[in-house]
Amino acid sequence: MSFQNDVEQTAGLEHAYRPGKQALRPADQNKVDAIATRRLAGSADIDAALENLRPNENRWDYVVGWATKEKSEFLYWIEVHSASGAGAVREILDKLTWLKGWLDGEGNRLRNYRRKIVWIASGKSAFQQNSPQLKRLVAAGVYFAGGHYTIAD
Amino acid sequence: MPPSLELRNIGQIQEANLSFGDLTVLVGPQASGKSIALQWLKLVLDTGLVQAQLSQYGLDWGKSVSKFLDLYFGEGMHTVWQEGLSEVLWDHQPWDANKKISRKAVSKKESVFLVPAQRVLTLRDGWPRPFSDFSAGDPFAVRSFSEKLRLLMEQELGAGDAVFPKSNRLKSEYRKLLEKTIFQQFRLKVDALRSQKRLVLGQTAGTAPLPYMVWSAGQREFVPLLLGLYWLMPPAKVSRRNDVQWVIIEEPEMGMHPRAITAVLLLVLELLDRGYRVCISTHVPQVLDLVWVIQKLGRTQAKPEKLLQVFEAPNTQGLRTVAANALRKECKVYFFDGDSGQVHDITGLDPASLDKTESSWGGMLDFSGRANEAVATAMANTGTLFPL
Repeated sequence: MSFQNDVEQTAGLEHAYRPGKQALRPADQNKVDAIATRRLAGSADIDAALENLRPNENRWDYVVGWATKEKSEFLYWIEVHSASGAGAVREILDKLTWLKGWLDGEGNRLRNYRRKIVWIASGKSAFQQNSPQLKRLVAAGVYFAGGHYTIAD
Repeated sequence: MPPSLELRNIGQIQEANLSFGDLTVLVGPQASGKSIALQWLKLVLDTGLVQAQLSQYGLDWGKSVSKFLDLYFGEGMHTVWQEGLSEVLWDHQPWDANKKISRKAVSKKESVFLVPAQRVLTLRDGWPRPFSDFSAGDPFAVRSFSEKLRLLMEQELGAGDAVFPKSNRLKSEYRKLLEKTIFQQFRLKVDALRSQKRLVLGQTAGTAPLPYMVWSAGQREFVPLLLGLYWLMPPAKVSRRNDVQWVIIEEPEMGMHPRAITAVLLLVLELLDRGYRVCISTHVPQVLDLVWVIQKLGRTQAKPEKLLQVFEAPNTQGLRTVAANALRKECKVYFFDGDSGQVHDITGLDPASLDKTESSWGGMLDFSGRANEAVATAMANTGTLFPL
């Protein structure tokens, strides 16, 4: 498996691959760091790339590749989304359902990587790490990072 | 301008700029300076009273700051003060420790009531210990609090047998919540063992009373706090006690289940409603949840009923007034960083803040965050939703 190759072989993402975290919109780039940027294997803005192919759907924002210490590739599925209201958890779960469906279909080349699914707040947050609503998301596989996330092993 | 206390190079604290709200909460790891800061607040505002009480019991510090601080903070604690380096400012004006401590202050008024973290030590065999029962090396805050409880028991509560529930103390809504969360079927009352008065927990008539040492840890912690609250909430139409304007409660959560802590936090709202300025130190996020909900509901001009729902408290006229007033209060939260000696204002309590001390609520949510990340990662890779 090669992250770059698999992105470029995925329908709709043929031109979406960017080195490092360059696929992230400028406002979102500040929200993501890595302990070693040279180990970033690239990124893709899924939301933008699939806007025409899959309009009006709850598209996930980004995927970022990461080379682990063991030299395997690990994917970070990152969503930058409002966390300011009670409905935000439902919205993230809807996006997660979309992501799962997409990975089961057109995105299946990116399905068999180990992964983390991360939600980063776009502004202020109504949730703390001990909020029961967040535990529901955790049980579904989504980690709420607050306003910033650092990619690490 | 809100009242402020600035501390420089005092004990573990390198720099603390505390601007007080109606409710101020201090968080931080053990031995990071929270208690020192709160005791210093008491000393600055009640210098004359502290001096008078120490002198009354034959304690003499000459004009020595060092001896005085050992008497006030406890044996060996004079080291918190470094001559020439340490500074205290009250409302941005220097508070000259050498002058203030060596000269007897005129005013003996008490404006700060401090409920110390060591409050469980104030009861011996179920009765508050007098000031002189402690060693000269014990902290003044513990000795003074204990003496206050002793006087309360002897002058106001000891005559009858019922101490809790007591019809003229605390609103009936509070009494019911405390019964449900702390005392259950028990009644706190005074009895005598070989003529020695003591507080016991009694059940129905005919059953043996339970002495202090067999109470649950939470009950042992709560009873001194309850007595302190009785003192602060006198019966009849007086809303506050004498000249007291400030209430400091160290670690109100000690030994208690979260439901009991909820009842205690509702009593904090009652203190605010009575016009006290309240300062709390804590190690549990539940206290910060209180600040958070006051801030959020207050800003959205939510109805007071919404705040009462958080406490599962009855929607009575009396409690609605308490909740409505709470939603108008100004809150402040400070994190004492034991590593750097700095104190951070984390009042925003925004979990999305880029300031990690604020987003983690002074480190109190770190464990939850790491647990969430571990579980989310496991679920994302091996869960039924996302099998690899």
